[in-house]
Amino acid sequence: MDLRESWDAAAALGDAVPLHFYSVLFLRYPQLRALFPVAMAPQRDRLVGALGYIVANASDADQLTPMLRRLGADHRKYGVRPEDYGAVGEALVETLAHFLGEAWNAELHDAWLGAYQLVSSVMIGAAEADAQAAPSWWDAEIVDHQRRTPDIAVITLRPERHYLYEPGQSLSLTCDLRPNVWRFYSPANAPRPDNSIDLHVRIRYGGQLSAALVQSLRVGDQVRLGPASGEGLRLADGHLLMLAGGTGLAPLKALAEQAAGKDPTRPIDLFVGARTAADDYDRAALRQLAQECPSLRVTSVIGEAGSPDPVEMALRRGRWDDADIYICGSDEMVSDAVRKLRARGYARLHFEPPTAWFYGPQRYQKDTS
Amino acid sequence: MTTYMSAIDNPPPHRRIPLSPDQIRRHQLPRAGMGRRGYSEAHVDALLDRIASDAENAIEANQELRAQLQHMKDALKQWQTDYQTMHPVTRESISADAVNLMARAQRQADGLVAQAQDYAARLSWEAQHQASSILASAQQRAEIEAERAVHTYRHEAGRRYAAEIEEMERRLAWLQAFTHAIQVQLTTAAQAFVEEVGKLTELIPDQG
Repeated sequence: MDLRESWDAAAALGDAVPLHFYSVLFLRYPQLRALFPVAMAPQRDRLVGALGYIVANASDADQLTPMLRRLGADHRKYGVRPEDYGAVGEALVETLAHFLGEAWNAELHDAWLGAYQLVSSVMIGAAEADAQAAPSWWDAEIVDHQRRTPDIAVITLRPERHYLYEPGQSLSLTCDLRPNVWRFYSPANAPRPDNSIDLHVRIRYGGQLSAALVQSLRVGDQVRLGPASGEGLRLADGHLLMLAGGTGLAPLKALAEQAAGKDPTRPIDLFVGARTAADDYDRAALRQLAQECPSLRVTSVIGEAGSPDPVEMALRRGRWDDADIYICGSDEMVSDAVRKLRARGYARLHFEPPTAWFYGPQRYQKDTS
Repeated sequence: MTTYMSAIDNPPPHRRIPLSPDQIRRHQLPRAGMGRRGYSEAHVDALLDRIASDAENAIEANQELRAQLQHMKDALKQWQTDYQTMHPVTRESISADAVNLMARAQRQADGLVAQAQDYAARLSWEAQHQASSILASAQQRAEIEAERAVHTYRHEAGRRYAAEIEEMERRLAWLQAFTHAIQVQLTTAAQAFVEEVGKLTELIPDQG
């Protein structure tokens, strides 16, 4: 049995394997439990996913190394330290030995240990390199909290240190209301001199963090931010067409602000979809922005699913061949929009891929649990 | 005279994408001009400078990568040493009972959280659904009453009819009917809620 076969055998046994892994890890190193959230089912899935990916791409360094470096740097925000990696390797090997029983032998032990050492050294190296450039996380204070609708809040936070991001990117966030539950949100403004950041948060029914952020978070509370990431929505030159569904407005508003800031004459058409007029939660602010910047045209598109949505409205207005088209909203809205636009021959489309890499930002609250 | 190619224009050296070998080979150096042989000296010098600068950057980048690689090798060596010298106690195997207990506790926690999430989702969905239907039904009632008010006004106004007054009557009737309908619905909902709470206290045998 080689490394890959041993992994396939273990993976086939389902959730019991990662459950055993974490049980062993926390029994041995109880202090590590504090780095994880209460509910661990999604975490177990992610671990299995990551290991599966690593094993499958073990021979393809070009594919694997960038992923591992991203992963290693990303783990800093959880408070993971280089010395913690040894504990994980130990528990992993012990878990595999437990489940593979007779099939486990000294060769497999060495193979797995060697593979893990390689993986963790890349991750640790990346974390240490990242440590030269940025802190592990940013503490931020809530300076404004506006409940625009029963479901949606616009939250303004100010990081204690300068926080670097590009409009269109996402940041990961957690707060003590839901310890160690991290979700991605997109700044809704271009970087400001006072360093403050607006987030548009919608309660996702059954979601763990979003409800707490909208209902329980107060001005003065603290949150913790991870680094910004995401390449799908970056500012292009020229005419911009922007299609926003719900709180997908956030990164598009940031990009519009950025574009208008650089060149107030550049034409920007923003279509904002909402189920009802009451759900058009940022209407006043957008109208204000349009007044300050006459080349920005904002259209609210109100209607239940089935009636005109932002994409339909934009298409009815005519052709957009000279424009770069930005789409942000629920996974469904984005997939649908991309499909329709491509069918009509539009190629300059900007969006975050709906099923992103498991540690990457996904649109629309990213409440995968 | 050909204009100087954009590939040779001057972004700051350390940010530049280096010329590819192909670009260098394909580059057209302008001739020296009337009466002279060979290539334009100025262009040749500029091109050589550019290539030399690119080479410097490449060497620098190479050195950085070597340093990083060495750093990572050192880190790996250190990690291996640490692992070997780890305190033997931590390598003891843990009792199967302890692992099972831990696993069961985690499963229970997962189940509770999932249940709470489901419940919250259902509650939110139902509340929103109910809110929408209360609003829709109130709007319907309001439309009916608004129409009725318009009809009544037209019938009674006769020659004193004024469009603005009709509109005012319509709006007033609409608002009154809408508010009333909301109030009725909310009161009904509140009463139902109070009843449910009442049923809860019946479960407690001794109400002291």
